[in-house]
Amino acid sequence: MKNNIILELNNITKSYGKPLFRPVSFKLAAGEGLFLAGHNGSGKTTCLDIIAGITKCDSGSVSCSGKIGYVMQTDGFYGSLSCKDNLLLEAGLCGLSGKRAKQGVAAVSELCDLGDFLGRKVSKCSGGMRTRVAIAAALLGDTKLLLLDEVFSHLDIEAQDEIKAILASLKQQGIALIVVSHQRDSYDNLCELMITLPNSVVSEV
Amino acid sequence: MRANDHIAEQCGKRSMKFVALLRAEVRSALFRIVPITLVILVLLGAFLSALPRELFSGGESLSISVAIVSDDDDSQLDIIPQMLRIVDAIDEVFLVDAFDAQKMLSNGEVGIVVHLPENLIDALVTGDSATVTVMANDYFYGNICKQVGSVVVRAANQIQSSSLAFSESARHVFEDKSDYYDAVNSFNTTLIRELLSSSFYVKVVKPVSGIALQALTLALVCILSVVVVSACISADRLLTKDYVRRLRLHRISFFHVWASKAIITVALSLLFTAPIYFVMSKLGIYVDAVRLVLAAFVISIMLFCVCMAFVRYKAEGAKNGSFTLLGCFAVLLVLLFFGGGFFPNYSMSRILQIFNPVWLAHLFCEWSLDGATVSFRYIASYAALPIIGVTLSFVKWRRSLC
Repeated sequence: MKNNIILELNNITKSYGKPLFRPVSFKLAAGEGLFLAGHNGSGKTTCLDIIAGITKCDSGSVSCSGKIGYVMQTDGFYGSLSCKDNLLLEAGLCGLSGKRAKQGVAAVSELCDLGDFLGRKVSKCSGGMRTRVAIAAALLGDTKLLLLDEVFSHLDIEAQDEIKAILASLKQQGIALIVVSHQRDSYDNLCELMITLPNSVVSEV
Repeated sequence: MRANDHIAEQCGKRSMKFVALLRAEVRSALFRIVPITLVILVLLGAFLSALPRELFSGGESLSISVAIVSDDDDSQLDIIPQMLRIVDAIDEVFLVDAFDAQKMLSNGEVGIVVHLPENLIDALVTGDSATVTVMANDYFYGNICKQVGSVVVRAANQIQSSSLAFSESARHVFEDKSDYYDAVNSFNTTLIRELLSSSFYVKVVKPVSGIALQALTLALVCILSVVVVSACISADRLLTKDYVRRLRLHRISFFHVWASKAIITVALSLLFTAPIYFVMSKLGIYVDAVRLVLAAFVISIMLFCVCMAFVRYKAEGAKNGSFTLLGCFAVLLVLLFFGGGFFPNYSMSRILQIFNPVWLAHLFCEWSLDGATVSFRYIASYAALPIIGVTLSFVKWRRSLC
């Protein structure tokens, strides 16, 4: 039996007229990685939204014992603000203020190696930079579970390697990952489990 | 299970989140508003320096002159021009013959000609029908023509009913026909004079400086522009679906976004209004500051809410949201141009006036100056067109509509 369970899903279902996927159940421990696979429209992002609490599920239960960070397909940052200002906003949204917010931003900036472009406007950043900022934002507030939705889709190989290195280091620190992607190969070293939607089959990678 | 229940513990105080969001919104707005404001001020300055005063006769009001043609050689009709003052947009009224009226209409000296029939007075007394013809030299004066016509007809009907009632009752009193006709004629003459010159038809206009109205209108147009810019900034980013999801992740509702943007909008509106107030005070024009602030507040919030409603409509994933928003702005621009810009508001039907933001701005202008006036220069509305055009392109409006 796994120790230190971060996330537990029990028979989660969701339908938009017709069921998106079969009931999903799994447990995820600290430092583990789960790969969520499936064709377009199979409900991968919806499943992440349910875990993040953005979308309500029809039945089943979700229990999470820690803060969830979510890196979405597009970051939704303020383009006219700097990376640091956006991170400070995120810190505020996570309930951090003042000195604690600045300390938190400094810590995640170091973790994601944002030092060089922290003062740069988000609109002037490349795709790889923005992804790193988005991961940093998701890590604010003592994150235990990180949800990643298609983060590699617009990145070149070099940028992908940088992000992989960051994710690997996060795993070592005990942060659990749930990854949604069409590129399974990219995550072979990061994920131990895989669920394929819509059949909701759990397998080991 | 409710959405978010399992992550409730990770959420901080809502007030703290709102402050964080507001701070980011302010910073984001400042980055864009400052250059936009400079553009607006430069445009306004250029516009004011090239104010085409010659377009307006009398320097104070938009002139729509009316010529009254009467073939009836009756001095009683001299009083009719006075009653036409009830129509706000009318500047001058002339009593001329048909030839001169046609000439004046062709030369553009008058905008409207009212043709009273030859038998008008007789028709009024005897109860016969008479046709009043109203002609205009501009299609957009149609609504004013309607108003002029209705004023004349209403007055005539009133005269006629009183006259007929008197002659009917007098018939039983005077046995001698000569005495009867003398009495009726005397009554009619007095009645027509009294009715047509009665205060009912005279609108007392409190004179207000044209500069004051112009400045106020400019201020309110500025506010309008700021509101539009603000809405554009909102739309520019709020339309990204993941921004909305990200806020929901932190249990931030649209209300918080609305509230933060509303605060910014009002603050910017007042920022624009305050200097105008001080300039007007310096010029010696009295403006009620409280009323002015309230007017600015009401207009900005009203338009802001409309814009934000459409922004949310789009953000919620409505397929035709962008087209609806675009249509909304198209209507706004049309109203700015036709409903308060090149053509006077009086030419519009009442229902369109009610929904016209420029008309509301005009009403608030009059209200802020603590008086009513018929002189309103729609000229300020011209400024809104380039301002909106520049600002829309500046905030990459097209991108939002993709």
